[in-house]
Amino acid sequence: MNKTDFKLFLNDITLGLFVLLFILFLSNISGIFDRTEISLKPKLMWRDLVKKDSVNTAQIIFTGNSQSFYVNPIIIDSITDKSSQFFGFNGATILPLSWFFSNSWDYLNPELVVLETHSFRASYLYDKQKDDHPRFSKSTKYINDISLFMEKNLNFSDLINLNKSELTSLITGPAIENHHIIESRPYEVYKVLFPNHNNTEDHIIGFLKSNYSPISDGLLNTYNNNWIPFPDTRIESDILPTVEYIIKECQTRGIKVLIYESPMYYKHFKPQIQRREQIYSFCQQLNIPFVDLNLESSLTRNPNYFENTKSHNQHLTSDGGNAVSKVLADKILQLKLLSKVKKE
Amino acid sequence: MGFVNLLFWFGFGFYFILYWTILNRSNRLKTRNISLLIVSYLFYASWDWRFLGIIIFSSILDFIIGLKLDTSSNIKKRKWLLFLSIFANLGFLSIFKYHNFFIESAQVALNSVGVNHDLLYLNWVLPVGISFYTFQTMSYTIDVYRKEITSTKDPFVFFTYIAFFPQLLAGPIERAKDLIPQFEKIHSFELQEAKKAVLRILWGAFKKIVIANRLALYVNEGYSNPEQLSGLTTVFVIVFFVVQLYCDFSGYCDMAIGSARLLGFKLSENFKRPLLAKNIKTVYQRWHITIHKWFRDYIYFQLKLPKTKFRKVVNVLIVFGLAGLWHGSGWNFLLWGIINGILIILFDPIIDKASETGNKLLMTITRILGHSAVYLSLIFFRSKNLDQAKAMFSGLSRWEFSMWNIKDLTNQIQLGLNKFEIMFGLFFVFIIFSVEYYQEYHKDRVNSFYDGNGLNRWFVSLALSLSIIFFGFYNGRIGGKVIKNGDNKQEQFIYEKF
Repeated sequence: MNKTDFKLFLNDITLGLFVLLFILFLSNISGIFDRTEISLKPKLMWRDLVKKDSVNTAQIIFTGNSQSFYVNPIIIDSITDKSSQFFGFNGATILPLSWFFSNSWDYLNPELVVLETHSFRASYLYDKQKDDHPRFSKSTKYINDISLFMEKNLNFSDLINLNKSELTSLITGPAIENHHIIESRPYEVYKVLFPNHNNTEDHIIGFLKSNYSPISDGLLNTYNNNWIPFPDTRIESDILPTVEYIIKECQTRGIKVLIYESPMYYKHFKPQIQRREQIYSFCQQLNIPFVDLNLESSLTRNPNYFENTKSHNQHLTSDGGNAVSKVLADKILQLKLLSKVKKE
Repeated sequence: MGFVNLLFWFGFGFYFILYWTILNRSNRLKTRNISLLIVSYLFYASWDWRFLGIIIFSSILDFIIGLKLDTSSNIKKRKWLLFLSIFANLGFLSIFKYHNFFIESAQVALNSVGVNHDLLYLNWVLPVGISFYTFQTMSYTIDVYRKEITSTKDPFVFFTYIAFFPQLLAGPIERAKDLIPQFEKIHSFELQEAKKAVLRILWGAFKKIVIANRLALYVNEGYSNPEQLSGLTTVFVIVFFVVQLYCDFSGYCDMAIGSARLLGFKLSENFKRPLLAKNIKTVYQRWHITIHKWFRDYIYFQLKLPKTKFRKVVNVLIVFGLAGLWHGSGWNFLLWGIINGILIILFDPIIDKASETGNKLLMTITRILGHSAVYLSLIFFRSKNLDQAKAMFSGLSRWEFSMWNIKDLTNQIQLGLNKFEIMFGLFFVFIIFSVEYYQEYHKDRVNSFYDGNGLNRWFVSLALSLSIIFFGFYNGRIGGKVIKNGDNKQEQFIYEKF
C-alpha cells in the first residue's frame, strides 16, 4: 500500500468533513436548524391571545377563511340558542388552522366545531413552518423586528396597536418564509379574532359583515352567454390528513364536528361532482356529517347572495351571509349536533 | 442498516482504516477475507439475522458442489450436481418469493372449475437480497459445470464472494470469474481511484436521498389513489416513477461500486445512462446490465437456436417473461416482462432500418416511442396488481382542465409534494440529466473533471453533501404517508425487495 497516498486521502476526507461540519455549524448559528426557537414564539403569542378572550366560552366554533367568516352569528345563535365564535382569518388554510386548534385546546370548550371546506388547501406560507423541506433562508431583518417587539415585554395586543404599520409592512416579501402566520400577519389575525368593540357593525365575535355588492346584470349576462365555469377541483390529497387530525382531536375531546361547503353562484363553477364525492367519502370514513350548501338551490340560484366577481374566489354578500346562516343553523339542528336546542 | 444510514458509514469508515492499515497485507490475505466475511454477515444480520442461515447454507452447498464438479468427469454425476445446486437455490427462492403467487394462481384456477379447497399460504418475510445472491451463486456452479472457471478451494473466498456486503442486497450480480480473483490478491491503495469512489458514493446518495425519496412521495400518493388522478397528473406520476426507479437503483449501485472501490474491489457497472438510450433495445442494454447479461448467458443462449422468426419471438418472450418474474411474484411483473419482450420484437426491424439508413427522423421516432413504451410498461412494474395498473391507464384519458387557469393546473399536479418541492425535484432531475448528458456526449470534459484541478471535485463533493443534508427527506416528514413512525422507509431501496 502507498502510505503517502493513503495519508493524503485521509487528510482530504478529514478536511472535507471539517469544512462540512463548519458550514453546518454556521448554519446552526444563523438559525436554520433552530426550529424550536422559531416555533415557540408564535405559540406563546397565540396562547397570549386565546386565553384572554371570550373564545373559551364559545359553544360553536366556526373555522375557515373569507369563504366562511361572512356567516351571521346573530342568526346562528338565535336559532341554535348557543354562542358561536369564528376561528380563522382571511386566506386561512387548514395547516395554520390546525396549528391554532392544537395550541388552543387548553382554552376551548365547544360542543361543536364547524369546518368550512374552502380552507382545505395547501399553504406554502405555513408549510415552511412544518418540519418540511426545502428550507429557505429567513430574513434577518424580520427576525430582528420580532425580537425587538418581544424584548419590550409588552402585552401583545398593545404591541399590535402600537405597531400596526410596521406589522403590515412585514406581510409582504420573502421575509415571511420559515415563519408562522401569526408572526408575519399578526394584525390580520388579531382584527378578525378580537374586533374593535366600538365598531361592532363590521366585526362580530370573529365574524365579519360582508361589504361585497351582489352579482350585477352585466355579470349575469356573461354567465348566460360566454362564461367558462371554473372546473371541478378535488381537494389535494395531502391536505386531508390534516383535516382528519383536527377531527380526531375534536372527537377525542367529545366535540362534534360538522363539515360544510359554502355555496357559490351555480353558474360560477362546474358541478363539483368529484370534489363532493371525495369529501363525502372522507366524512363517511370518519363518521361525521357533511353539508354541501351548493346543493341548496334556494341559495345558489340567488344572484343577490354572491359577490360580483369573475375571480375564482366568490364571496357571500351580506344577504348571502344571512341566508347561509339560516340554512346552516337549521342543518345543525336537524343533525342534532348540539346538546340543547331552543327550537326543534 | 444500509447505505442510507450514518451508522453504516461510521462502521465503514472504521473498517476502511483497519483494512488499509492492518488487514490488507500479503501475509494476512486469509485474515482479510475472513474480516470481509464477518463484516458482510454482520451487515446482512443487521437487516434480519434469521436469514443468515439461508445464505450460509447456499454458500456451503455450492462450495461443495463446485469442488465435486471440478473433480468429477462423469457427465451424469456432473449434471446431477448441477441440478442439485439449481434445485436447492431456486427452491429457496420459490418458497420465499413465489410460493404465495403460485398458490394464489392455483386457487383462482381451482375456484374457476368449481373446486373450493383452501390452499396453504405462507406468511413469511422475503429474505432481503435473495434474488441477487441466489443468481450469483448459481452462476458460479453453472460456470464451473461448463468448465469456464475452476472451483475455488478457499471456502472463505467463496463465502465472501457470495456475501460481499457492498453488492449483497441489490447487486450488481457479479460473475465468479470477475470477483473471486479479486479476493485472492492483495490490493494497492490508489489515491485517484479512492477520490473517484467517494464522489461516486456521494452522487449515488444524492440520487437516492434527494431525488428518488422525494419523487417517491409523489408517486406513492399517485398510485394509492389512481382513480382520482387527472390525465396530466397521471403522466407526472408515470414519468416520476421512471426517474425514481432509476435514481433509486442506480444510486444504490453507485454507492455499492464506490464503497467496494474504496476497499480496492472493482464491481461491474449496472447502468449506463439508460434514460438517454437511443432505442428500446439499448435501454435494456444499459439498464440493470448484470441481470440482463445473466439471462442472456444462462437462459437465452441455452434455448433452442432461433431458426425461424417464431422461435426467436418465443425465445425473447421466455427470457423477458422470466426477467419480469425475477423482479416480483405477480402477474403484473410477468406481464411487464412480456410486454417489453413484445416491444423489442416489434421495434427490432424499425431500429435496424433506422441504423442502416441513418435516417434521423426515424431514429428520433424510435427513441421517443421506445421510451414512451418503456415508461408505460413500468405501470405494471409499479402497480400492486392488474386492477391498479388498469386504473392508472384509465387516468391517462381524463384530460379535463382549462389551460388558461394556471392556478388550477398547478393545484392539479400537486400530489404528496407541494409545488416548491416539485420544482426542486424537477431542478434536481435536470441536474441528473445534465450530468448524464455530459457523461454520454462529452467524455473528454468528464475526464478533465477527474484529472484536472482538484478544486472542482472539492466543490462538487461539498455541494452534493450539503444538498443531501438540506434537501434530503428524512423520517417523519409530515405529508409523506409512506413514512410511518419507526418504519424508516427512506433507507430502503426498491430493488432490495427483489
